[in-house]
Amino acid sequence: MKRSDRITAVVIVVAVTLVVVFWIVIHRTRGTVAVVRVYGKVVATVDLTFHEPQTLRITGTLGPLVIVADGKGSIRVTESTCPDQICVHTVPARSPGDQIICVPNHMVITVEGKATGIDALTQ
Amino acid sequence: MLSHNNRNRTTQDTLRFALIAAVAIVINYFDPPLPFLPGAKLGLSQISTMLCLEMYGALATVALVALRVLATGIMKGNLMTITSLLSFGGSLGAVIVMVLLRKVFGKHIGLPTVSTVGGICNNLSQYLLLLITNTVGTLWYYLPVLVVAGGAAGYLIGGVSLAVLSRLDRALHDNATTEQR
Repeated sequence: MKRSDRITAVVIVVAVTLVVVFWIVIHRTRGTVAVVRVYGKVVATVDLTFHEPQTLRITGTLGPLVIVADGKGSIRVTESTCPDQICVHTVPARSPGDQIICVPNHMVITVEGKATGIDALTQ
Repeated sequence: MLSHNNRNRTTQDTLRFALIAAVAIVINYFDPPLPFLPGAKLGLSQISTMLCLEMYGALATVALVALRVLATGIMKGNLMTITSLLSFGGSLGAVIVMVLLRKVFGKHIGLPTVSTVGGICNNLSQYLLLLITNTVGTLWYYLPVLVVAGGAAGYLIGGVSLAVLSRLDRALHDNATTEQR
């Protein structure tokens, strides 16, 4: 162990601290939002990181829909006035890019936000 | 000190080199991936690279790296894939820079510092390889993290190597000192 090694150690500690702080700051400001559109027009936006469960009642082209955000990051359609109920049976949306679509009602829920996390990791 | 006795390579040296290579292969096989840094590993097997570099010089170290990559590639079944290429290229880049560093600064810098630079160069050359082979697009935002992580891991590995070397020296030569490193 020499003096240069101590200097290196100090430099590394400072650099690691900087990167960690920077990383945390970048990742904290990012929220995931679900945007509800009917016939292309935004009728509601729901913050999925909000911690209270929320129930939305919106009107589609055919009739009313009930949308529930569970407060744990996912959103789904619980009731809809459409013949096939495909939107109700769709898997709850939670990651950016997920969509729930009700074609008869012209209703689209899109989860927006920067994609975080990784898809897969090979070892 | 092991590297500075003026005798030819003996059977003993061959055996020790083989032992270092075996340790490198085993550690490399079980090297844990870091959960918070996708794609990054601690690189513990580089401890043997450092030992070999200090004990037997640059050429032996390149041979060691080639042996390790070959054996691990065969065991994991990913020889001839980008994984092996990265492993080899990264270590090769690190070894070249570390040898140059030793040549230029001699004994003014210690093993942890050399190893730190080596760790950084390991990640940089892997990044360059990825760019050349077009495996990933630009990942500039990940580069500072890679550099710092490589440096930190390199420092740890240098420290461990220093400890191992001093114990080895004491075990092999009763009166040797390692204060010079």
